[in-house]
Amino acid sequence: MFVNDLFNPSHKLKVDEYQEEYKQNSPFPHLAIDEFFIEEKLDEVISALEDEEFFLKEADLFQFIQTSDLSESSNPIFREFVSFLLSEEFQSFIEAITSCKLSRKKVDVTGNIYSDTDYLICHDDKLPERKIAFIFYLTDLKEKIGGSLNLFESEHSYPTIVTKKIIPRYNRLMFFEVTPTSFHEVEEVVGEYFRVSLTGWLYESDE
Amino acid sequence: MNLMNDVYTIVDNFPVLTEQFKSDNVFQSVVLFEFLKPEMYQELRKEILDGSFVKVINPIMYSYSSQDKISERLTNLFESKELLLFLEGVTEIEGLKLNKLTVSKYEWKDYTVMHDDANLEEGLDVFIDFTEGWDDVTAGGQITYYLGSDQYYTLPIAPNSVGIVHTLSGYQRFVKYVNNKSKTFRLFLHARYRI
Repeated sequence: MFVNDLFNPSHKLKVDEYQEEYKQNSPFPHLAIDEFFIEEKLDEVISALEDEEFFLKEADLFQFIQTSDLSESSNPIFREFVSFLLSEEFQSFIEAITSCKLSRKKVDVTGNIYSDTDYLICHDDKLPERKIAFIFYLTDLKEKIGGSLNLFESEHSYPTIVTKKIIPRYNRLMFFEVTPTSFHEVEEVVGEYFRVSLTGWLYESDE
Repeated sequence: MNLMNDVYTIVDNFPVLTEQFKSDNVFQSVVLFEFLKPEMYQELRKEILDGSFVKVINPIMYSYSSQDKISERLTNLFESKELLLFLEGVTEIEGLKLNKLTVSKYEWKDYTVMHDDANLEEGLDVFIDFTEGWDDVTAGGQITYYLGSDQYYTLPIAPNSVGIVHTLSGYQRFVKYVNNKSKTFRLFLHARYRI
């Protein structure tokens, strides 16, 4: 289902445009693509997510609720979704835009919900072999509610100030290469709103 | 000097406090309430708030305000015989030497995270809390210790309380992110003693 039908076909025709935009975006290369999936397919994923158990993740750096790794889920919807993330179609699309070589074997993906007071403090995501961080937004939020993905300018490998805010929009895909200076945070959600997303990492090819 | 409430100056009371301090085999700590004499608490709080604060931000490590200059009077208080006698009596740790004295203010969106480069050494932490009106415990701002292996210890937030913690090498400490439920600011004085 997903591998062939999920991905809105118009995006494949815009790879060159996306590649240019990705490179030009600051403070570090990234891209947000709206209306990425065919909506009814994405809604199936959202329905499946409603059946998943979420666990509180709380430490010095973050507070939100999260599912287990969906790449290990037995739910057929997520199995197909993960197949899509590992598919030649999706991976070569991301590779073409980012110029990164990706593994077709490994992906991490979890469902995440940020509600009132939840946050994720500035960090770089850097762990061995993580290559591309991605977020599929499943809800809309207005800027004043918080929940935006804030990207930091850096100087001498340290983050300085936020120079770009990515606002959550239903059916928006956002991704960037994980580097020692890809500093970002999720701004605290303020009020009775929910920032729902599927988030994870694509890995570096070992070939 | 009449710094502390009378109950904390009576040497005969120390064994009970020592018992509390050592009640946890892993984490030696005690939190005492109504620690300073009320007039001393008010006087020190005013003195601290009358001083100037500087915002310090390193997004991957911290965001808070720190008093740029600690008065000689405050330093003297934390090096006073009265306080050292109390601390050494309660902790049964001898030879405490004041290493650092800081005053910090945390408002909405402030925090300190743990960092591998900031592991604690053995020593004694003394936190005197000057926070008022922190009615919502979900607002964050708690001073929290991480001992490894998923073991966390959190100091409660209460005005005129003192938290005394014996830190061991490798402990980490952070201040939980202050969120939008905070109606005011966290204010505390931190004295770090070398053992």
